[in-house]
Amino acid sequence: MPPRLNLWPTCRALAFRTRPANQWSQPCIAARARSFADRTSNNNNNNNTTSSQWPEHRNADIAAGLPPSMLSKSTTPEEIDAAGFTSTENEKALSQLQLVTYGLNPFDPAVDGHKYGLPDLPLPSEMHMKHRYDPAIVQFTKLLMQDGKLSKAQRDMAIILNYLRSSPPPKINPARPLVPGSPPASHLPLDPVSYLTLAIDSVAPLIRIRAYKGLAGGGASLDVPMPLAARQRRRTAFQWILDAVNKKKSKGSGRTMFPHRVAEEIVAVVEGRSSVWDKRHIVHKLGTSARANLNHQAFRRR
Amino acid sequence: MVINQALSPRNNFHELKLVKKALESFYALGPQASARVLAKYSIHPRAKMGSLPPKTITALTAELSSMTIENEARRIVQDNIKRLRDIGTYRGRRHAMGLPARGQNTKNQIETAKRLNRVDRKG
Amino acid sequence: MSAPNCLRCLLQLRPSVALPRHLLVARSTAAIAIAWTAPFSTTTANNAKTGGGGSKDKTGGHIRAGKKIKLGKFKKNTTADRGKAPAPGERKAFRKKILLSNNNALPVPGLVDLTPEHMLDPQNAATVLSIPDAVVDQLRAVEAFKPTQCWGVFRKPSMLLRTETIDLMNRMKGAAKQKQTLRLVVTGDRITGKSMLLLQAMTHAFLNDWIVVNIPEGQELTTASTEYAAIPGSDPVRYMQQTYVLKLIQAIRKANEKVLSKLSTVQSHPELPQHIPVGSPLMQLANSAKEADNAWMIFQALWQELTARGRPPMLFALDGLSHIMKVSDYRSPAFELIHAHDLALVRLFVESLGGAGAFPNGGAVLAATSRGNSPRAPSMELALQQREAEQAKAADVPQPDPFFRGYDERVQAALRTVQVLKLSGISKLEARVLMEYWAASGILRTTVDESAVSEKWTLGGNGVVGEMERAALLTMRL
Repeated sequence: MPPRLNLWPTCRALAFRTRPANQWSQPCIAARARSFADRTSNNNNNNNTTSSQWPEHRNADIAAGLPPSMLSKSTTPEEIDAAGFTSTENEKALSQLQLVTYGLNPFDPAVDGHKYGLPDLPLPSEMHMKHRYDPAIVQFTKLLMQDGKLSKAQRDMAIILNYLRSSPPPKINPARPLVPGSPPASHLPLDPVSYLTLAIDSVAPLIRIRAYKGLAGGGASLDVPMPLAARQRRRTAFQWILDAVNKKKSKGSGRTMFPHRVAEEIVAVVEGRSSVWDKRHIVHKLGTSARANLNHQAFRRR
Repeated sequence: MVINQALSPRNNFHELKLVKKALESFYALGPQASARVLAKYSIHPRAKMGSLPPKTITALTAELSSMTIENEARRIVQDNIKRLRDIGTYRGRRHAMGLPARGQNTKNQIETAKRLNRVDRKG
Repeated sequence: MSAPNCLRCLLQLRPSVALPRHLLVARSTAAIAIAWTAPFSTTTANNAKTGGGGSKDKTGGHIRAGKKIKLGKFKKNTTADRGKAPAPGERKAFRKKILLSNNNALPVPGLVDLTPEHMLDPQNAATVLSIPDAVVDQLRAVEAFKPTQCWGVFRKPSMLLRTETIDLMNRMKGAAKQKQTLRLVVTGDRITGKSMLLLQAMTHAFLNDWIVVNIPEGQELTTASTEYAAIPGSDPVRYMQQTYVLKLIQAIRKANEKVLSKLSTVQSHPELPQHIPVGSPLMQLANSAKEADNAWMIFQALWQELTARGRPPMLFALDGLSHIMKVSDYRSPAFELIHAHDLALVRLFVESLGGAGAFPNGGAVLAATSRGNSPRAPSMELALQQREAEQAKAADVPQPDPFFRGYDERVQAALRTVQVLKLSGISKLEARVLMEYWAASGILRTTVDESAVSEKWTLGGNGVVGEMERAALLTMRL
């Protein structure tokens, strides 16, 4: 929301105008505009002492475009009092100036009495506490979790993502194609979440083989390929990756070792070196050979 | 002497073995005694056999040969048990029978007594 | 319970048992043995068959095992062969590895290298500046970087100059100019940047061609993990730590090569094994430390040279102060615990910090406390609180608890005259500058505006830098 910086209405609200503006007759705006965490007295001191030392561009930065004279007025109410401007309207005006410094329009009804304004509704999903992370990341984190220690799993996932974004761009093996439409390899480390999701989606199997006991006759089971939903596919792929990680040798020690091994395996998947690709290949091959079984009488529509 | 050879790193102990553990591998030399030996020769508790200078190893060997460890210590225990047996005490008899000597139940869980309680006690 | 022998075994036994005794006389000894064994044991019979107990299986051949319950039937065999284990020290090296650059991070436009003047100018408060490459190598040599810091995320090691930084650098500069020693302890809550401030002080020292001696972790000296020995002829007995001192000399040599190569010795050191005449280069003295045995002697000689008149100012720094303000884990030959101040290297630092061994060329002795890994040191905490209150000219200086016996007189004496610098969160302006740097590096992928800064600043407990990093950099929301 780009703030509309118009100082003229603010000046109109200052007390040297004889007629107070109607819309500012409600009390306590100034008090509400100040947050509880804000130690005004200290901030004032800081601003006073340091503003002379800082270069001009920084001053402008703080005041969001206000000239320094306006800023000093807004930060030192005592001086204004001494000059004879004493009224609640003055305080209101000062609070409006403060809002201007936050880059907001004080006359916007949404801003009225709020330090940072009201959020735009409906809220985007990442603003909700329970949906703040990418859904794929949430799923992988829960799969990483052991003994119900979600916090530890989250830290591990953060380490994995940090590893991915600081590792060199992967060299993609043309024999192991990734999901079509994937970004070029050089872009992947800059977006670790999509890097991870891409790796998992690329090795995820499309089907699973379900064995129907005894349907093939003589007690033999009948293998039938079944399609997997997107979430199931990801789960299978991530568990394959975790299996491969558990088989790998640990090269170091400490609590960052496990996430590093997982991250290395994910890079190996994208580069086509991982054994997980073979697993996927086997499942797909089995599925291809078993698809004839779908014609079995038991599955025919009656 | 056996101990002489035992402590030299080339013969028995790997050079990555902790000195403390190497000392504690001797019978009748436990954590307390080994800590004291280490302190006496200013060896820190995490020192490995390979990091000891030859001078210290010689000193340790001499120290160990002056201590009652291994067979000497075993013989003391055996003598004590034998004395109990000879004067015909209940404890001596229980040792001879390989049963617990201090009133424990004997229905089960007496493996330790079976292993250790004997007149010529080894362990 | 089922019978231990199966029917087939008993059937095999039957003929020999049934034979009359006299028929057996002419038979082999094995057959006699069969006759004299209990009818329900096949052991000797089987042994005889296989040639007299030569087989591995002492129980003999066919004994029917009872029905065994296989516990954990579905448990997979997890002891898979994973190849060769890493060599000794490799695992630790991985744990302690420090990455200082990330080629994926964007180069920040307008990021300038630090110069000696930058760290003194109050106008540079709340700016992010990068460390020159030469200084990075020096800082690496003195182990100023810690593995827990977030260096590996950015393209180039850079740091935020806080107001406290500028203040401390000016104090260091002033002390060096007046040939005085600034003795100061940096304290503060967890991850408020205490070690970072030490690093900044070292950067300042390297940029101004000071001599830097750094003990990266106090605990390495007192947790009984490095070799020690009594110094011969010392009374009361002091202890040297040869291996650590050797490592320290090598770090000093590597980090201060630029300064040391210009200096030469002004004293003769007859006690050294290698003859070093007056006027030979200091590097030669430092290079003569090859073995741990004479490392302490050489270190003493080197220290005398470095603190002789006419040398550059010196910075002596230590992280993890509370580890050296307690009784150490070492034991004397009489099996008594050695106080940390009786260890010679620690003693050198403590005396410098306490003001006993002032540097004639000026400089600074800096120590940082640690909150994450620190044993309780009640005397140190009390002393630091008292110094802080005295500096603030507070009305009530904290007094020792009269019902507590664990105070240490030596610690209190050591910290009687130090200055204290307490770190807390950074200001919002500094937070904004820092977050702009993160965003410019492509690491923080949000617009940095007032509300974003305020959010992270608040999440970080009113601007605790490490907490802000955790909230912004080490998160699943990248």
